[in-house]
Amino acid sequence: MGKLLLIIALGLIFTSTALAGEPGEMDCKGKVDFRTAEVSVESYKNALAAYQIDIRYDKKKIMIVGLEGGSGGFKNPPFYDRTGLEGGHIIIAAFVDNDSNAKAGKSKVALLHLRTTGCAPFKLDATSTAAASPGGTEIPVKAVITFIDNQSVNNR
Amino acid sequence: MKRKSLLLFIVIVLICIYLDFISGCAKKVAMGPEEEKPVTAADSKTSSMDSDGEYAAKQGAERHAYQRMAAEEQARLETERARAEELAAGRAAGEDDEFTLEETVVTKDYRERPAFAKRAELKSKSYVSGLTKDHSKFQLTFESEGIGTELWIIEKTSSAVGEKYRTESPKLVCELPGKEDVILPLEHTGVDAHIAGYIATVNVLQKYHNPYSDKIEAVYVFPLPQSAAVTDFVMIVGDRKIRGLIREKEEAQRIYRQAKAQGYRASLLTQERPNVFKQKVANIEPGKRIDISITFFNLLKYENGEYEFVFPAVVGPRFNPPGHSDGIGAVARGAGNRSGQQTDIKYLKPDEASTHDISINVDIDAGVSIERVYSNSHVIDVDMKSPSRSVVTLSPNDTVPNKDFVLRYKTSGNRVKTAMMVHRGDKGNYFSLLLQPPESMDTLPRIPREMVFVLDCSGSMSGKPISKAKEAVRRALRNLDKNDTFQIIRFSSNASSLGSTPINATPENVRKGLKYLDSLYSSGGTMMIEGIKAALDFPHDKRRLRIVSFMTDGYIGNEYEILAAIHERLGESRIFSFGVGSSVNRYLLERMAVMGRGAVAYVGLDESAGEAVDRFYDVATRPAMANIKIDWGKLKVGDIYPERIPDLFVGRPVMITGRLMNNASGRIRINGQVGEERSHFDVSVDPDNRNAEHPGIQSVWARCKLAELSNMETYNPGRGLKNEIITTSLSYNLISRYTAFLAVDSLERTQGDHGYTVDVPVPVPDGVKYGTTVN
Repeated sequence: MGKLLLIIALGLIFTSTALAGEPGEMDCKGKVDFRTAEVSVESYKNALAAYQIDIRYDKKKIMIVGLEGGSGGFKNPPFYDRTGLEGGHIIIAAFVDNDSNAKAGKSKVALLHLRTTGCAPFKLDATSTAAASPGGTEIPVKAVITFIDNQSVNNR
Repeated sequence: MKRKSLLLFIVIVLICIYLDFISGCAKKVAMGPEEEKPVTAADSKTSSMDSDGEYAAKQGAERHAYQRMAAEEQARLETERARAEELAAGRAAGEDDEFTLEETVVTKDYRERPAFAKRAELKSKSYVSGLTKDHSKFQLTFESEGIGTELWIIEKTSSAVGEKYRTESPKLVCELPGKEDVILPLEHTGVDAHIAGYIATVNVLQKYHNPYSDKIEAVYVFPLPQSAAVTDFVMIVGDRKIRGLIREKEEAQRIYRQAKAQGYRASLLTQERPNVFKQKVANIEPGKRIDISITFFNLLKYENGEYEFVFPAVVGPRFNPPGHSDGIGAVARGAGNRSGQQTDIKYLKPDEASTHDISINVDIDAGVSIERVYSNSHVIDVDMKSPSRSVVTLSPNDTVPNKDFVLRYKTSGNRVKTAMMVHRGDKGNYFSLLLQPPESMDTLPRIPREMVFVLDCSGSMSGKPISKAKEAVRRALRNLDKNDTFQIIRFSSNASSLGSTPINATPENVRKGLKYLDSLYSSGGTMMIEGIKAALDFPHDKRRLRIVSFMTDGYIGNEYEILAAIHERLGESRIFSFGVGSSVNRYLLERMAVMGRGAVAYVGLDESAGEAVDRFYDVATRPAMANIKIDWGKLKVGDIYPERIPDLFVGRPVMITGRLMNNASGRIRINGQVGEERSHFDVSVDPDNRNAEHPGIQSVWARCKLAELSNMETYNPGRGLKNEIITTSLSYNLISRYTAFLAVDSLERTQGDHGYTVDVPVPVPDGVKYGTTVN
């Protein structure tokens, strides 16, 4: 009898743990939220006058619901090509309103307003990037996308 | 034993935990994912308050504002009344009249009840600067500081006119009616247009704010030109600009609801009709502002040597036939009811004034000398920057958004040449061709006509609109040729006519027609379908060209049904639609004319119908060039819209747009039929002309394609064109009936729940009577 009860107890413990999974996962499954991702471009020693970034994301979990500009010369919202939007792909591009606003180093160029569904992580990748200096010369850059932790989610 | 009891206890505890867990899971499963969870009344205040946005007007700050305003208004009225009486007494002593006034407005016996008057211009602070009188009326003029003149006319009934009136105290002159200013979440609409060639790029800035003490969602139904290709949508929060993206309508609506429910600022733009749009702005916090910027391209109309730019300011109150629920309903502000239609518009009462105003700037870069710029609808300031460039500004004295802004300008020369504009973009090359009729058509002899005038006698036409429509028919009747025949059909809730067959345009018959016309009056609903049936099913005299002319404001909500009926019954008729009023449903009128292989014209309430009627029916009299086919020569083109090229009428060019496959310049040949004769003419085109490029051409082409698809869907609903409309709309970033622009600000969550929904009420269009149109 004792053994039987022990087996039942262990069985219950096992199935409860298995069904519950990660403690937070049930809370976020199917959950809709809104988050913001910041797009920055590191142009090193060159002044950044224009950029084009190809962004890919998981379309099942992320939907872009707004595009905002960054700071400095990139204050206005970027232009975009929505051709691949339904497939988890968007190209954003912008140029500085005035060449004097083109800065070297790291430039915050855009904010992506997102609707997310389900659990973190939510991944956005800058797959290809092109950029130019005020003279129109192509320059090497690196684009970085980070979530703004305004909703205290485990995005990072 | 002890060990067994302990184990038993553990098992029981685990079972309890297990059951509790399973129960929790079951609940979650039953509710489904959060995005599917319906918003219930318990979720927020909005669900229960949505049905009447005016609830918010009773809240907090606004209530205090009203009380303060009411007290101020009362004090102002008392002061003005005293000054009016004083002044009137002085004038009655024999001073000379100072004002020449043309407008006659209201007829009431001032002795029996307080007189009421029309305010020619509504001003907040004014003082009496003059009074004139004659045997029948008093005319009071008020000067408003820094704004202008306000005129009241109080006319007496004939029984009140006579010696007795001369001896009575002028203190009875008037009661000064103050309009209650209704504070709205929409403060201002700014329109900024740039015209190059025959394409206008227009930016509309709607400035929303929250004057209440609770968070609100503002909902505004507004018009845009029917051919507007809306391509950009930006939500502005402070100095931040968030560009919206276009999505399928249902998906966009779902995301908007989710963002709203979670407290994020969001905005949604949907198309209710090609010329009617709905803007929703969620989570505007008390005292805060959100602006919405909408950009669209629009083709200008060119006819009889003049370009015409139109910006509509208000949607007229629509009539929806019984059984229809997908229309646009007209509801009184504060009545707390809904019309039962898909979209409601709330209208201000006659004694209410909106705090919403409009400003318009139009920068015309004509490329050639501008000879004349004018507007019959509004007071404008014209600044000629150069012979070919003019900047037009709406006068600050004319900012009430209750009628279409119609701007016309004439360029040098008698007519513009056939012109091609192109756009080379990432999706390919596109062109638009403004095809002018050949000059030789000007001299073609007129042909015998069978004129069928169809007069809208519904309630919305009462007053000035029906007078204008009658004036137009009267003029057209008098200009009929002896070889013509005619008939007059009226419709409101039903249809009837002068006779059962076309009658010869003899002087006697014309007199009968004029008499019949005089007997018509406006009342009842707008069962336009009855008018369509009566007109298009009417017996036709095959020896004459049949022209059916609809005289209407087009205030109906079942446009698609009407267009489908025209498609079905048109036969050999041509439809010449004639829009009458200050804010006509131009989408309906133009579609009727296009489907009816005719033309459209408009007459505003402040315009003489005579000249417009003469020009219009002169066009109808001449044979058109029909069955047009274009030989493009070396030029390779495709996807031409409209698919069926419209007939060419004298003085009225048509616009064709398509894809451009090469840049071969040269001559193209336009083949057609004029009467029984085959005819053609050649024009030169140069798609490589870099001066004729415009970035809007691609959008114009896509908008034309959407219009074509939408029309085909209207009269052939089984064709399953929805997916093609959606694909085109998404590919070219253009709003359509199945797509919407959405912008969400996810950076910041506003506090509290999402508050109340406040519909932005609008004035009824100028000249339209509130009592006969609004429920």
